[in-house]
Amino acid sequence: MAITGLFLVSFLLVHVMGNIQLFYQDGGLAFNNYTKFMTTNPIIKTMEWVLFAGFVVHIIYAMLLTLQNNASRPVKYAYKGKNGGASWASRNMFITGSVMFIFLVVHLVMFWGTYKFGSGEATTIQNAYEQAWKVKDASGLASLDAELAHDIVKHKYIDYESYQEILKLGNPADMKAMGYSMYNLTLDSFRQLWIVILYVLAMVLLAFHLNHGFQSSFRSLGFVHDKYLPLIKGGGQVVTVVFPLLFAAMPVYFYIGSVIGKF
Amino acid sequence: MAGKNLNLTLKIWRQNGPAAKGQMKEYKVSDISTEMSFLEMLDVLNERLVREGEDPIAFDHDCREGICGMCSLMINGLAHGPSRRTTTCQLHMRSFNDGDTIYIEPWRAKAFPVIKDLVVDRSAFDHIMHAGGYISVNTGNAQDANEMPISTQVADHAMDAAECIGCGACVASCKNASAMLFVSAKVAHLGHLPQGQPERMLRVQRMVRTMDEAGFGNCTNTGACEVQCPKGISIKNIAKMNADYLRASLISEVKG
Repeated sequence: MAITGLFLVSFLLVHVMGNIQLFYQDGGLAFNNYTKFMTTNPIIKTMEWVLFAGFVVHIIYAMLLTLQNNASRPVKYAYKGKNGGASWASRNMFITGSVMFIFLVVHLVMFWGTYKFGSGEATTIQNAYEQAWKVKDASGLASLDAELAHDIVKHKYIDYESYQEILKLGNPADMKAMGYSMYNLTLDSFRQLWIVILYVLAMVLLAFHLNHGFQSSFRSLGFVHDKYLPLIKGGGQVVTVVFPLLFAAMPVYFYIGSVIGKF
Repeated sequence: MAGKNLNLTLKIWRQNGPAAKGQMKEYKVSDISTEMSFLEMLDVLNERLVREGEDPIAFDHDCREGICGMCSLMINGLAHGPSRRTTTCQLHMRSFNDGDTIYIEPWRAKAFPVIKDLVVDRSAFDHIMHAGGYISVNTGNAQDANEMPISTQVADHAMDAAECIGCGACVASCKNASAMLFVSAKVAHLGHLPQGQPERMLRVQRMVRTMDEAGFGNCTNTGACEVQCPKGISIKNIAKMNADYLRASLISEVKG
């Protein structure tokens, strides 16, 4: 629980650092290039499986522990409402975790699933190259050079060499293509109020989950000493506040931006 | 200072035997002096029940001065009642107000089955102690007291852990009915001292295994145990025991 939990915190760190590029005022180029890196780099693709395993182990352990812990008190107390001084966050890790699991599924279907399995939206070869889109279908190119078009779809993105080849064949601004810009996908998703509400709610629960989980993980691993306990507690507070706040700021930023017509 | 007298409504768990079905039963008591201890208030009620021909309420108690660890009782959802760092026997009726309703329940845990009414079987704790809560010494004459120098700081830490009276309030308060505070206090107590070192790795493995076998829940560091402990045993002992247990599991050649 503790080891997988801290591993997942390290994932949050990477995730928040990468996604901060959403705030760059560059039409999403930096973010799309980051997405390209994350979906093609072999180390990242391997870590994707490790991360998936991390989630699975964390969730399975959580279910086993919760079942065991519920079974350890078959007859409950008649007097309710006292919790012996334990915080709400610490007593409801399974509930906050479960709601976040639902959020995770929605989140993955919305972005990872669409990006990986969706059919794409219409664009041109030029735009796909310049904005680092993932190319799903290069039909505009297929009639000119079927092999190159196939190659591009297989490699997901248009690299510099391929683009030079395409330039020899004709004007890429006229060639139709289907694909995804992760930035546009994000923008479109966060125009919808219910999604924004779901995200902010999930991040509030994440804050509670981290508030207990971070320092509890260190305790479970035996790291408690007066010398560095303040560091663990302080680090926990930073993680608890900063991560969810930055994550929650993203949907809110894009929603407000869409309402005032910025995007 | 003269005390007041209280009229109270008590809701008490009554259960005839381990296999019997229990229930909360209501009793009214009147003219309870605020200077009585909580257990004396129950004594008064029991005397009345005996006079009325009803079975008196069974509850654990022994020294009545807060050091034996016999008394228990979940009082209004709090182990040993509302006063911090106080056992039930040292809790006084001045902590309550006239007209209060007080819920009195036994410790609830799978590893602490009810024997009768408010009395639970805490022999799971004894089994854990048998598994490693001791040091093996050769018998013979007592050794010289100053043969093994121990610094005051170390002695203080050991003494803080040794304060645990094994009452089980930690288990009763924990939402998971975990016994980690108790076990960690016993492990830390001997682990701090030079005499405890030879069996340190063996001790933690055996005690933890016995604890798990008894059916206690897992520790999720909620901290309720520390707050409710009548002796103020620190939750830091749990982390220290986790460190010992990890070390024992990973690198110790001795298997418990």
